[in-house]
Amino acid sequence: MNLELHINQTPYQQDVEPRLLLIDFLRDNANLTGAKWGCGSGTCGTCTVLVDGNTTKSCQMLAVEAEGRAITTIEGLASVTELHPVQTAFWENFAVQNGFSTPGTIMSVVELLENNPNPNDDEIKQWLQGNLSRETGYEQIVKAVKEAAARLTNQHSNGHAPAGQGVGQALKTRKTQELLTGDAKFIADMVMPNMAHAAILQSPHAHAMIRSIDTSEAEAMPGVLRVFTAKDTEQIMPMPVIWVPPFTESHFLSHPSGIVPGSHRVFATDKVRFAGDQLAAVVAETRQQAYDALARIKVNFEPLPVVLDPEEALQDGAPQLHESIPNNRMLNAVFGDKAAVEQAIDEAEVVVEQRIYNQRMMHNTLEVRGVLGNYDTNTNQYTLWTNTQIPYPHRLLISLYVLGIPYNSLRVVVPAIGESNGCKGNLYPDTPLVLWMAKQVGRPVKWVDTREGFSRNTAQSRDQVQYGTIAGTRDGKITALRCRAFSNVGAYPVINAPGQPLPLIGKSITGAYVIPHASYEVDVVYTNKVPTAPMRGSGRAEAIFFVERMIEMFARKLGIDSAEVRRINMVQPDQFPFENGLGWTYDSGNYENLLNLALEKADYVNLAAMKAEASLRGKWLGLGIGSYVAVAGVGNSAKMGGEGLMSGTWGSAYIHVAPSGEVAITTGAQPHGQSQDTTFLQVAAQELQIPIDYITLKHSDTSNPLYYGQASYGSRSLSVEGAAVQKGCQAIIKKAREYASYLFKMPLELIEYKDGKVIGTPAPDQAVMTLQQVALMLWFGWDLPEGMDPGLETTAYFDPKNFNFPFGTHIAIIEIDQETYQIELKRYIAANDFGVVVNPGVVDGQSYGNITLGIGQALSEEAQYDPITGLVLTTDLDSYAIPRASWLPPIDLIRTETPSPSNPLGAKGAGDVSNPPVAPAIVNAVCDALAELNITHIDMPVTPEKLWQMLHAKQSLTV
Amino acid sequence: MIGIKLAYKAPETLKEALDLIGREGHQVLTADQALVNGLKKGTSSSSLHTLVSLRKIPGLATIDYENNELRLGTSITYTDLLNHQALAHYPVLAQALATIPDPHLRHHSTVGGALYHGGPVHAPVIAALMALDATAVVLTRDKETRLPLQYFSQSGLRVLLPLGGLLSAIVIPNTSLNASTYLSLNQLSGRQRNYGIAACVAQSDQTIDQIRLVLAGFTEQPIQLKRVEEALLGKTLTADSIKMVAIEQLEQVKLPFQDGSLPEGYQRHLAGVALNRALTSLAKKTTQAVS
Repeated sequence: MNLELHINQTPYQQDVEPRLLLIDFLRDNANLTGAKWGCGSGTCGTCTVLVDGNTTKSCQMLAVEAEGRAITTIEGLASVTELHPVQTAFWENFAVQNGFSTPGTIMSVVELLENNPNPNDDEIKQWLQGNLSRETGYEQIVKAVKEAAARLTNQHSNGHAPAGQGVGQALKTRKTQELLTGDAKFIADMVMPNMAHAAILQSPHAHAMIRSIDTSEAEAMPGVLRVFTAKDTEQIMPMPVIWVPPFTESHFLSHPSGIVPGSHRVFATDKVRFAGDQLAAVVAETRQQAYDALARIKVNFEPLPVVLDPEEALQDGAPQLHESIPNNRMLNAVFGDKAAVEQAIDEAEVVVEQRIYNQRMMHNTLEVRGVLGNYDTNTNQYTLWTNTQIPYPHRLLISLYVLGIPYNSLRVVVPAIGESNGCKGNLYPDTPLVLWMAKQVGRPVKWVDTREGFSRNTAQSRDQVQYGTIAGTRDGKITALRCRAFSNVGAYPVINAPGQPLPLIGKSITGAYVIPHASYEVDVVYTNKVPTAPMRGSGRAEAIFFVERMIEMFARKLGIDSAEVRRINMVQPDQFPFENGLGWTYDSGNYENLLNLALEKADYVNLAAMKAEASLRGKWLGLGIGSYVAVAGVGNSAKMGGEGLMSGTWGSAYIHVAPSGEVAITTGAQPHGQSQDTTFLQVAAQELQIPIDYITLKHSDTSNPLYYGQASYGSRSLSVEGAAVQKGCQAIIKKAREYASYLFKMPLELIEYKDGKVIGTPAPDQAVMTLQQVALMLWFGWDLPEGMDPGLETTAYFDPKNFNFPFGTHIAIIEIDQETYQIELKRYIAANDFGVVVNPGVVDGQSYGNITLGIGQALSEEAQYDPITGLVLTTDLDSYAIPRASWLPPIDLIRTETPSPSNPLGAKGAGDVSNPPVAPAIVNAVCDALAELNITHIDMPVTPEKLWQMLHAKQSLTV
Repeated sequence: MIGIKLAYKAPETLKEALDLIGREGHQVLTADQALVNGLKKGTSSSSLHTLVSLRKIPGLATIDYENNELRLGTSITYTDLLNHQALAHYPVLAQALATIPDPHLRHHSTVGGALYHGGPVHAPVIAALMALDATAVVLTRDKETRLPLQYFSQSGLRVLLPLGGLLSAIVIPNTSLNASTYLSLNQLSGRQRNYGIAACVAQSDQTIDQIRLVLAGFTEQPIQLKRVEEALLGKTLTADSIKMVAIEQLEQVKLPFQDGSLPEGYQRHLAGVALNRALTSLAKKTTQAVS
């Protein structure tokens, strides 16, 4: 059909299919990729544009319905010379992290401010109900909207005063403009000449034998280039497993390389083990053609019984997933001295037991995963673009362990990446498959998942049953803590999943407390669910939820204020370094101080009055505490090796000072929203004492001049990779001083480095060179001291001797409606210590994101499965509800800075560590609110219907 | 991406549209985009192959007073409605619309779409219109029929438009109501269905002459609580009558709950809370009006 419309005031006219969606027209036909495909069901708002000025989810509108309309996309917002005031306000208020949802949110805000020039917080949050922000939360967005309103109504004079560039300054983030304007290219936005498109068929059965696959009809469909199944991919090795702790009992056989072949292949061969197992792939000229053909593939299955529960899967006679693995037990591990713990429990005055289920979560990044593969026959080079957290490990694992191609023939590039929450830290079978298919068809091949596909093939997380016992004295001293756990890792071992439920949980269960006897035993079990992997807060979230719930129940049984029980047992400032008895050595901190600060902010002393007031309004009010210590800063390579992680975990940085004086740093970190492009440069600018604009940061490409890069995960970037940057800068300065010493003919100790210059202190006016001059002279290399190489460059590595341990206390105040059982968050206080903070704006943003995710886990999120078929039921963002703006109460952030001795920056992790206390704070608040009704525990997510069921059951019993 | 192939027609007259929609596999697109989601998920009718858009037909996106009736054209969006001065006379409708905060849904949901496509987004609006005794104007090639909105809800199950019929408008009759309200129970929006109730009452001397109570979100299509309404006629709204009459009668009403993931007992409990609160609110409003 002929379609005529205006986009950003430019007329467009094209012939389109009636079923073409407006978003696809904008992205594929008009090449305007600022509107992003997120959920596909009109929930997330990443595709928002304005149609005749009206906020419109472009994935929810047929292109033909836009006939004659005026469309404004993010690309049409900024003028040639300056950003729109909303864009500026977002930038200056740190409302942009990974930026995937930013264009859609901004477009929605533009209309809001057209209609309502001075919206209040509630009005903003209501308006943004259709724009989700998974990683960033909403606090800074609301602030940005209010500031944009002020700018547009001339109440805001000239923006923020520019922050300084040094450590500790809230410097405006770099590489942000392209995220604000929609110019940043994410994987789905990438186009190559002659590019073909792939679609991948997923199993509709959770457990079944494959009897036959018929692809003949699909092969005959228009535009289809090739259809692949398992018979084509026999030479592709299964996905490797890189983390099998050596101290465990597991079914994995040792392998000479230490990296164990797993069982998850690019296509299932004889059997599918979860609904999502890959069966076939179509490569076609267009994405639509690929999916049209995919629907024509016929597979004949013989269904098998399904097992979804880890405890059931361990039973004799349970459905068996892998023939060689009895009782579906992947491994069993024990931390701590079980016998000593048993004895301490037997001897204790007070013992509390509780079963806790930490539910299965879905990462549900607003950006799904995607891959673009290319093989150049002329150079024999493979290039893989994908939205992964771990490009260097991808290069190694795909080349050496999956495809068997030379390491030096593979380049991995990460485009702009729309958050990860941990799920993009895996190697998935689709990734090497797409690269391999590109070689087979002799063309670049792109695959971008769908939301439904994502729900079935992208790792999920948590899912652990814990049987807890806490024991102690009548006056509140904890003497023992025991956790017997069963972890459900789904159908296959994903690269690092086997290790994840072990040390990160097992060594962390003592939390912020001195507990003389603690033990953790876990069975890691296969079931017919989607494989699992770490998620933001990984391991620590399960551990902190466990201990914070147990301590709360312990305090209640004793009849002692739970804050006081925490104080009695907390690690004290004079106890550092503190061995927690399970393997961690806590570095530094004043845990009780943050507990007290948070309680004071929450007006804890007036809790009884708050409850009484709420009761008059028909509400039960509760206050919950979540204190935490979270291991971060992976890590000491030898220690991680001892844990069985087959990977070095060094931080790395290559730094070179060009003869022009420009400094280029390549980091081993892999930013995906953490703003290393800003914070690492702040570190470098402070060390080198030069303007930050002279420095650039490179990453996201294994062809960068860096031998080794470990990536970003587990709150390690600043304290490990950032420390490598600092170390490299110091090496640059050292060489510059040595060279100056030689040139100036002065002893090295008389050469000072100051303000970006080397200065011979005896004659500071004559013996002085800028870093640029040093770099130029070293670039010429005409006159060098003995043993010195030309050039001003270095590669620096940093391996901390210990992890670092951020800590804090969060407090949630909630109300429960006594009739509907609806839970409303009234206040949230987060007191954290992340050690030395480089950029407070960035760190605050990460805290808001962690809180948002924790609220989701506490109140709404859970991957749901059909108990009979094993199909994932939560396949979109309607059925899997992530927090929206209106859910969030006012959030107070409190921060202290206790430097970590583990790295020279004194930094501690911040990216995911403040997630673990959120869920226990909220659930503790709920249990506190219902204390009079004798509710001691409720599993997450805590929903009104669960509360009704519990209270209804109690009432029935009473009657 | 939409998996099925589609044809698309955008007739310029009602006659052309009526000719088209009488044919098999033709579906009306009123500018409401709820259908698009159904097409993407493959949940729309498998026989559908042609969309008939009403966007070029003049006169379907207007709001008019005619013969003491408020006439809402089928393509009127919720935004149009919210911004119209007439809405001040229908608080129940204004409050129902206010439960839909997402601007996209306001801009791209239409009163016609509510009946063509149903779904949770539209439930509050349909409930409010049912409570206002609105009727749907349905055109076929040879006649115009008025159907009460209750026609589209058979005991809470959705009833489709008569085959070949084109919904041209929804008409709200002149009202003698003393008070009306739409009460929503939704808090963590998006986590669960938008549960609510539309309630309107006409009283004389504190005695109920007429009352409409329509639950939204619990069943596939909003459901009118006729049994409760009848029991309340001639009564005065007091805490006692609400509890002894209304809540008791509600327990006898069959409610085919659509959300199988929530316990029926909880949903029924919520329905009771909604009814209680709505009637209490009406009682307060009518008392205030008298004083």
